[in-house]
Amino acid sequence: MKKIAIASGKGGTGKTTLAVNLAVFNNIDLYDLDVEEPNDYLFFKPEKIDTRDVFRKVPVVNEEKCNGCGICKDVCEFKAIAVIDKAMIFPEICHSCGACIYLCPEKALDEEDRLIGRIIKAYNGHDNNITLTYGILEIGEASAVPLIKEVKKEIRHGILDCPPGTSCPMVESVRDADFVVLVTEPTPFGLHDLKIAINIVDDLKLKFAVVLNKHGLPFDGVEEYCREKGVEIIGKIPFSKKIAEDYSNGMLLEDYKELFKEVYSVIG
Amino acid sequence: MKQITVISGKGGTGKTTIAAMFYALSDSVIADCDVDAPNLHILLKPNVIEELDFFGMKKAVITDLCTQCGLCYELCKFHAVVIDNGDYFIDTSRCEGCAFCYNACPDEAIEMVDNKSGKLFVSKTDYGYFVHALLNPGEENSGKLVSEVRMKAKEIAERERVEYLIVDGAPGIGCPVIASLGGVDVALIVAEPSMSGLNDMARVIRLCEHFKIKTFALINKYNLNERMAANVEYYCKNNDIEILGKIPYDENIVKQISNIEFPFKGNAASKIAGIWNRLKEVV
Repeated sequence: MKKIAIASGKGGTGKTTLAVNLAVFNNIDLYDLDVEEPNDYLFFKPEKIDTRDVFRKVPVVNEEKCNGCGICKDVCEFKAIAVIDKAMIFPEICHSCGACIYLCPEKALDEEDRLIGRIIKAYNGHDNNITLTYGILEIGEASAVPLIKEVKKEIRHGILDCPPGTSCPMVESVRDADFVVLVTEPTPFGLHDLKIAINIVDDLKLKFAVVLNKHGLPFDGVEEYCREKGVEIIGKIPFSKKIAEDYSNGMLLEDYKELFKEVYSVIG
Repeated sequence: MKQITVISGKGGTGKTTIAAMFYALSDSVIADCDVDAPNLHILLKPNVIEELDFFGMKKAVITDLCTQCGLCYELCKFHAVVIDNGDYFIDTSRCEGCAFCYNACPDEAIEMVDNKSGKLFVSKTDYGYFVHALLNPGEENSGKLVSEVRMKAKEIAERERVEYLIVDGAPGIGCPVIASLGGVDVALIVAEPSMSGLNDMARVIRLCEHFKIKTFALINKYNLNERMAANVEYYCKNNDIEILGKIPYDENIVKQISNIEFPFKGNAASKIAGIWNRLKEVV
């Protein structure tokens, strides 16, 4: 069994559609790492759920010990500390590196838990015994990465629905995968962002292939590019109003069950 | 000069299409703040007139002075220090640039080095100035790059005395989105009539509330699911968010994007123009 990451670069190309349908029709556990905007649970009708809070450590000032020397402010690369008489912490921009706490000569900084989100485990979706595990980031929390790392600790094998983009949340999500499926759409935007995503998975030396969603739109650039570069397209989900409607209602694509089994048989 | 940020929560709802049309219809500067998957330049065919390097957080490097004491390995919260055959190295892709190791190393064996992590471009298009960027693949700090793009765009908008600065935002609710919202006059959410679209819009509305930003919405491709579109409207009404208009799904726009024929024409394009007129009134 493997860890299969579903990623894309561009948002809205069909990561969630592919991830949920692959998991349900092949009976594999599902992990939603798009903790900023998790949507897999909308398609997964669970019998019961477990929830746990996730925290990260941020410094808190011990007013009695702090003498306002300013070393903590000087060592904080994230400008999360100001000193006016005593140190003041801005926990929302703190990266929890721990430098200020360790380097304070007065030992005037303690650690405090800050809630960054929750991890939810949902059981027995769609009458089978697979589990969906997902993170949901607190509103206003800037970095998704610490929560993504926590969700990843739960993973043994399964389908990993990754966040869009090509920066740190996406990289953290795909980095330990055995295989990456890049979902794209046949538009100039889809092609542009696919190229960036391919660069990343190449840099990380990961095995990957492409699934083309909305196949049938009048743009051949993606298929041409994949042919030229020797990138395999392992599935094509057609462009159809019926699919868009089923997706919009939170439904699985029962009519394409065989397609999702076939895609999984290539990579699983 | 008024600043308007176009966001969505969910990706692929049509932010870029709509922001680009607003730009073509107005006296404005536009900034592409979706710096890890930028697409505006594809439509706008810019002439780059200025190119600037973007430096992210400096990264740690372990030098020959290292005595293999292992302190940095113990202290690094990001597991960026790796040991290979007894020698210590930094895995740059994991280093967040906190400089904890640099400050703590008893042998001063760690240096913090510049990290060129992207490029920022100032361009001219048929419609005015355009500021955009490209983050190197996998780099962090896209929030910092978004802030630099906005700062540059604001400087140009003020110099050129244009009426609007339009910001095309990133999907999600994390640091690049937060950086694209700080200090703007209005956020416009591009919603889509689906369960995911509604769920993601609800979270991005809460983000705007959190930062106390005046927020409006529009529904794109509303006729793909009119029942869900009604749910989006109902949710907005209950949260005091005015819906500035509804745009139908229009195959013409799909074709025009495929052929990169911009500005767009047709039914959906004229609805976008109507929404722009309404937005000007409420800003």
